[in-house]
Amino acid sequence: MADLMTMAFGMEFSSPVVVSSGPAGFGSELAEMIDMSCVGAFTFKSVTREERKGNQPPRIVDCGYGMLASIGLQNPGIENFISDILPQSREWNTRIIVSIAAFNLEDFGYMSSILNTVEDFDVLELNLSCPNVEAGKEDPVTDPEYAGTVVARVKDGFKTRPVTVKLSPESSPTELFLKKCEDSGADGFTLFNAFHGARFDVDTGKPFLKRVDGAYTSPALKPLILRKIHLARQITSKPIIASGGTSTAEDILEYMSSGADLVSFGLISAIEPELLMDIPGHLGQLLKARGYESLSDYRSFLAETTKSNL
Amino acid sequence: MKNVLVESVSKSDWSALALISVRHADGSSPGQFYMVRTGDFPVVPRPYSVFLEEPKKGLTTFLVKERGLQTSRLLDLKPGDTLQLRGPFGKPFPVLDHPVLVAGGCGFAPLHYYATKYSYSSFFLGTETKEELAFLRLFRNMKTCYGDEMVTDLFLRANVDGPVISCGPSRMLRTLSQADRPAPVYVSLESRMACASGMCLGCPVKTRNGEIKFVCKDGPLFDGREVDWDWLI
Repeated sequence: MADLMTMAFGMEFSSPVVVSSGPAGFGSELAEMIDMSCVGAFTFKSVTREERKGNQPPRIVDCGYGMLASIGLQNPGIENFISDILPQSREWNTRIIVSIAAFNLEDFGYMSSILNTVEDFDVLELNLSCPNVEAGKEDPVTDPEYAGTVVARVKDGFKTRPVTVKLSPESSPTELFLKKCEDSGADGFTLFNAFHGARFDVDTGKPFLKRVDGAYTSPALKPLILRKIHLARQITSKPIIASGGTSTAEDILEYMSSGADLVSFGLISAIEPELLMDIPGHLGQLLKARGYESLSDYRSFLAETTKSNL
Repeated sequence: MKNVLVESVSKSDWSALALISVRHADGSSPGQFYMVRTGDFPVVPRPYSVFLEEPKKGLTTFLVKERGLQTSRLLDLKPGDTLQLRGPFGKPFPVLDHPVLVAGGCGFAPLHYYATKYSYSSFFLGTETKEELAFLRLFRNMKTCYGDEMVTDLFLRANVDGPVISCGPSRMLRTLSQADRPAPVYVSLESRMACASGMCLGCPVKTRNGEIKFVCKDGPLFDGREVDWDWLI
């Protein structure tokens, strides 16, 4: 099988397959279903300073080509997460990404400074984009200056490992958000969180979801995300974890062609987690079929192609 | 997802309900469910309780009512077609001493399997239409109703003793749980879900002590008096 090892954030990942933050929760159920070492990294569901019970149901509605989810950042709070949940990942034999979300600068600063000395993870994801909660007074989804301020605060307290900033696809202009975050010290980007969506019951005239809108995940988003990653790659040379619209091993090659370094899988991790074990093998076959001995050979080919296109 | 062959499809008049049997028997127990879909579209599978598993025949049967995209495709299936399954998920119903079973509509499915496997005979069923009832009335001595008559009224008027296991619309389960009866009421909850294993946090149930549980992992059966119905509905 082709060697799938890939470099990003100054470290090796055994494969470019990343489990997205959210759909696979806190990993314990996934670890019972699959061998976690088959993925290059697992991203925990975003954690807040205090425990959150999440939104009232219904939290999920089918959309044919995808799904809307409105979970509301249900999580046990940062302290319980660090003491009870994070240590379980020691046995998973994969890179670990911890994700944090907050509603004010103080909480972002508090959580990142606590995590600075906590072991058992490799990268910190800064979720500036959760679509399913009330935003604070200052909103990093709509205000690029504030997004940069949050990154600077986190980087001020968290110095031991890289920080990847997860942006909303609706944060516009993306270019400005990328620049502000990079100027403030972002080490990389997770692009993107989900689009907002809504569905209504035509018999009652009411929304299906209790909070009306939710995070839309779908393989049909692939071309939208590919375009946005391609544009982001023109702006930043930092590592990009692609997120949104992925479902197959072929997608990994296409997202890498658009400029991604790692490729995360969200919806598939929830509805068909067993596929995560097949994707690395299939990716290896795709590389072999194209004459590449390793993923790094393919990435070298992409780098040459990009240069010749300039 | 595992691909399985459709063995048979039988439909009620007006095709509102269907029983779909597939070539698959994996030792499921009453109360458990599978995530089911017909192919790549719709992308997200839906949960269906097992209506019956027949290990000797190698068959599992599901009860389907047309409600949306996934179910309309299920109703189009023909013998020899392929269906995709994951499961079984959820905790099996406990074996109780002479429980009373109360079902509404497709809530009949898990209770049918439960009554068949353990030979329970005290059974109340309500459906939306007469045709559905004619299609589903499979046990002798069942108390049934349809249309505007509520199965909860039928059951409460009968004044039957014993623990209740019930499955059907949430409002029906709330009514039963809040009825003034000494015996426990266990409710099998239905919910939209994605992972069926507790990780996506999509199918929450809040208990009266404030704890969040999940239909897929902790249920589908809950003590109806422990459920915070105001939060759920």
